[in-house]
Amino acid sequence: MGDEIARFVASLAIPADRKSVVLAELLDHAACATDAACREGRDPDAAARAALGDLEAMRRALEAVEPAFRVSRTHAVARGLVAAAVIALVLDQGGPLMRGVVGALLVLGVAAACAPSRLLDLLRAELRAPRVRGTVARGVPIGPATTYLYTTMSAPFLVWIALIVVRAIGGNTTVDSPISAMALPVTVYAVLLVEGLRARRHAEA
Amino acid sequence: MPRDRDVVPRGALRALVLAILGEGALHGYALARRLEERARGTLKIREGSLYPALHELELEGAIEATWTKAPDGRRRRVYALTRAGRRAAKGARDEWLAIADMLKSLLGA
Repeated sequence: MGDEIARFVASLAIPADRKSVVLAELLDHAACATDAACREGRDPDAAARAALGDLEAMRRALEAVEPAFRVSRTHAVARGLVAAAVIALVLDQGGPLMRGVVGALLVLGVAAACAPSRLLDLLRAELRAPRVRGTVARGVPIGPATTYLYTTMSAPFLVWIALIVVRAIGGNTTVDSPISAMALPVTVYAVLLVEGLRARRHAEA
Repeated sequence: MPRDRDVVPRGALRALVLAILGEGALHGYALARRLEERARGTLKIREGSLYPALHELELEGAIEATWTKAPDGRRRRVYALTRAGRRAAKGARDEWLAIADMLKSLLGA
């Protein structure tokens, strides 16, 4: 049974460090079931197998949850703030070239470069995870991928608002809002829409 | 009529796990057996859903896991509620009791 569990865990599409956690838990679980069966005079192998249940169902559930352990929310916020600071300053200081398509592409490039690895996989796993039933509201869990996207998308606007205020105090009341500033929010919402719909179809299937 | 022993409403498992962990830290197998004992044979916890549910609660910060050793030396993960988890447990309990009350009145049980 131990070999079967090891093969199952090795075949899971989850981060390597999480495989060791899942393997230890499942081995412990099967061993507990075996011990209980021996005490009660039941077939230990059958008990261990029954205790683990449907491995394919477990595979689907684990592969939806485990990738989110790859990066913490704090880590995602830190990366998002770095990306946001670079985006805000580049667009503000970059001159006319940064106000059009070049600026928009640069914004997306910075966001992609600062993103946690395999961000899209992480986001898919978050969106496919079971709904959270909290005390305030229910909805999709806010995992590291969602945290990164919202931080990167929102924080530059805070920097720009701060710059507008500082410049207004200095007497400059001109406000310029380049189209490139909207490239990231539009892209993020488009990705969330597409992946959200795919996650819903996946859940219905 | 006794209900299907394999059926645990998806959201209910989360509330049940939080409620049992509110009584003390447990490892996965002990948690599953405690829930089944409490349900007096009306419930069978599918481990395929138990561990993902535990890991999801861990990700949310509702529970935390620590490594211990079983009596025979194998590695074991024990789960306990965090402060946020205690709040979530109360919220989940209230929510499911409200749902149960509503169903009772609607179905006239």
